[in-house]
This record gives sequence, C-alpha cells and structure tokens, in this order.
Amino acid sequence: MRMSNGTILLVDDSRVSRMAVRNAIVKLRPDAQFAEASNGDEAEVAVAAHKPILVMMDLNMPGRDGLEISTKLRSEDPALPIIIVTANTQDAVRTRAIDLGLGYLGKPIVGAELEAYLVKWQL
Amino acid sequence: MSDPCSPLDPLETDGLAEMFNLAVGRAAASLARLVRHEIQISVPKVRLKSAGEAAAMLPFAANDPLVAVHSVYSGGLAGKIALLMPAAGSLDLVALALQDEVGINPAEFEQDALQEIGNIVVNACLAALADAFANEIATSIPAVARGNRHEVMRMLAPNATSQVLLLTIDFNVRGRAIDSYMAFVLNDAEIGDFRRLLRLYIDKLMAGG
Repeated sequence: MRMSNGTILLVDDSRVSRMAVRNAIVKLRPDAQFAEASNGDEAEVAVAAHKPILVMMDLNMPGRDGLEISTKLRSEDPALPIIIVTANTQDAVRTRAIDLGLGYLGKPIVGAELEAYLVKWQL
Repeated sequence: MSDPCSPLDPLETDGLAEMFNLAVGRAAASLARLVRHEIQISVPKVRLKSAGEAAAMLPFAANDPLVAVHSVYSGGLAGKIALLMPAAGSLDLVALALQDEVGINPAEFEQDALQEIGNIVVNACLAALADAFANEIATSIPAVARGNRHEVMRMLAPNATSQVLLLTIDFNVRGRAIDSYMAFVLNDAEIGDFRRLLRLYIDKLMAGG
C-alpha cells in the first residue's frame, strides 16, 4: 500500500489547467502536496525526484503526448497511479487510456469521478 | 459526390443540425461546469460560402476586436475550429473560470485561461463529432489569436475565394453579457470528406442505429 502523505505530480503544459487540477484535488484532500511539470521531459525528472504517489497527466502537450509519457513511466514503475486528465473526451481516447491501465478524467474534472480514483488507489 | 461544395440538401441540413446539437450540447455542458453558469446555445447556422463572404457573416461588427482560440484537427475528420468572442468579454469569461483562485489577477492569466477554455470547449465538440462518426480525431494544441472578423477568417482560411463550411453557434453565459461563437472552417477536400461521413451518419440514423 502506498503512503497517503506523498507528492502528487501535475503534468500539463497549461498553468491554468494545473491550477484547476490542483484545486480539484485540494477540495478532496486539503493536505495534498504537489509538484508540477509542463512536458514529458520535466515529468520524468519530477517523478525521479519526488517519487509521486499519483500523476495527473494531460494528454495533448507539445512533444510527447500523455499516453506516451505514461507508458514510459509505467515501464519503470508498473504500479505508479496515473490519471489521464484531458479535454479530449472521445470514446477512442478513453478506451486507449483504460486499456493501458490508466485512470481517465475529462476536463473540467468532476469531483466525484476524481474521488473514485483516489479511493481506488487509497490516496 | 462529384462537387463537395454543391448546396446542402434538406436531409444533410437536418443531419448537420442533429449532429451539431449533440456536439454543441457537450461543449456547452463542459463550459457550464467550467464557469458554473448555465450556457444558453442558439440553433446552429450552417453556411457554405467563400471565405470572404463567411468573414462578413461572423456575428460581429467589422472592426470589433475579437479573440479566437483555434485548433486544427485531423484524422477521420479534418478542418479548423475556433471559439470566437469579443475581446471585451473575454476577461469576464476568464474571471468566471478562475473564480476559485484566491488572490490572483485574472488579467495576468488571461492568455493561458483562454487557451484552456478553448481547449475544453472545442475538444468537447470535436469528441462528440468523432463519436458520432466513429472516427478518431487528433487535435492540435489550441492557439489564441486576436483581430477583427476579417483578420480572424484570413487566419482560418487564407484564400478568400476558397469555399468554407461555416457553422456558427452562439454560446451565451446566462445572466452575463458574455457571448461566444464556435466556427468550423473546412476547405473543399475536407468538406467532401465531411459530407461523406455525414451521409453515413444520416443513413445510420434512418436505419435506427
């Protein structure tokens, strides 16, 4: 079981989106701690530095997309909880994320859907 | 279909209205969650016009400064999509979207916030279309541009004589003087592909699928 008092990594090229995701989490877990990255390279560095308990991953970013980055992160830590957080709510995208064993949330985030993942991963 | 820019027939017009009602409804729901206000949407208007004529049909005065959040999409469907709004109202929309953020100046975040609002709204709309057509669509990262309606249209369709399928819908934040519009711009080849998929969608609807 993962520790509940760890860092949550927010990966998104939009700082406004990172703020929104952070707010959604703080409403449910007021004591949460965060680190941020704005692309795949930064995300890999941040994962190594912070050992996050959860990664909230945007899909459409400059360079590698969120699914590609998540696949790389999962190859190094198969148990790392990752939720794809995206405005791209196509069924095909949702299916691909779920097939990779990732969580999936559409933007704007619905609190109950986020809570279900936090409970699932005991965070 | 020999001429992709032949006039839309009544069945195509009905099919477009049905599809865009679904797509715009999903986009409006996303925007409503974002700004926590009801979004009123108008009946979509679809026109097949030259880019120059389409610019004149955008529902703004000729020299009104506009903000356009635009994205290119490709895959099963291709074209350009833009969320357009008067520059004067854009900061109000940003302030609504950032209402949870304590102690920040919305003006400082206007560009980022507009990009994210546009990202959410246009992707919601495109996702509904992709699902209806059972075709996956890839979207570019949205960009924010400013200009009057002619400058915005030149950015979306650089050749003024090319035919574009222009669809406009009014998104109004209820109780606020904030109107925005969504426009799709497709060139000849994209219109042809779109109409082929539209026909398949209509056939499926008529077959009860």
